[in-house]
Amino acid sequence: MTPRFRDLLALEPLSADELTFLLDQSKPFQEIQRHPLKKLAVLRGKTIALAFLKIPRARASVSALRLRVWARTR
Amino acid sequence: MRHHASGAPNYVARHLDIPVINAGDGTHEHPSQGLLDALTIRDRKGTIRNLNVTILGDIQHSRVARSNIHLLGKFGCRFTLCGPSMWVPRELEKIAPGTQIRCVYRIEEALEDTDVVIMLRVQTERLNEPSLSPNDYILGYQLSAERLRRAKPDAIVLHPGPMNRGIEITPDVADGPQSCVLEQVTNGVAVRMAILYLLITGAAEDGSHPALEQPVPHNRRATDKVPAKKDS
Repeated sequence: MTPRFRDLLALEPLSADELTFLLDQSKPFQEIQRHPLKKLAVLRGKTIALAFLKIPRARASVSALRLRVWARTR
Repeated sequence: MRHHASGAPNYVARHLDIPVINAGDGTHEHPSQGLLDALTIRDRKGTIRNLNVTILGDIQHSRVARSNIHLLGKFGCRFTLCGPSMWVPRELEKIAPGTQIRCVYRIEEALEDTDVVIMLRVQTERLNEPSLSPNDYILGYQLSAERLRRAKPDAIVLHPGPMNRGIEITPDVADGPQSCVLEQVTNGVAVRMAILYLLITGAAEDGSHPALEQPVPHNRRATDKVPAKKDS
């Protein structure tokens, strides 16, 4: 049975099998790092928000991003 | 999502119906760093089972150390945590029940017979007179080639970067044959690609990666449309 993950919030609750699965799934992506062109189309059309909430001013821009993520995924 | 408060991504995940990835929260966890370190160790040592792992530095404030312990501990690794006593409180020995963890305060003892040394970045702003000066830290805890000789001959050294060369690690160890820092960088990209792929598209039932067979044939953003240029 292939493990399913909705989020990745911590490693503590994951089992050894789930952790091994994540490591094994990273292998083909290691191969990509050796290609001249290290890009893949797997996330084409998706919107990813990178939220680095270390500076106070980032908050407003993140809430704008959040709206965009919701709009794209619903 | 990276946040200074431990547990902030859990809060966000409860309120959003999209996948949330913790990119480091306070002193709690840094899952992708834990995974990329494990991948690096597995590639170099052939296994992550039953290794002696030494973690050096400010363990108390380190989410990286916690993710390393929670991952590698499930594979029977034994941990030695080492650093100045205020950074390595004894309570850390109990953070992962079932995992053997000991705190020691002499680096020579911590390195004895170890397979893997995981360095942590020293926040230089935490090195202050008079309690702990940079010079005290170097004298007591800097990883040098001479000290590393106490570890197993095939021991490896990891560091999440960026390294303070000359503070927590000497340049000859940082760039030496036992150092894995360059693999850590490329493995970091691979692990994060895999996490995004798995959480957003989901893995195929048979574990295959059909999408990986087709690299993007052009060197621009992998979006469907190129945004129109604004008039300047």
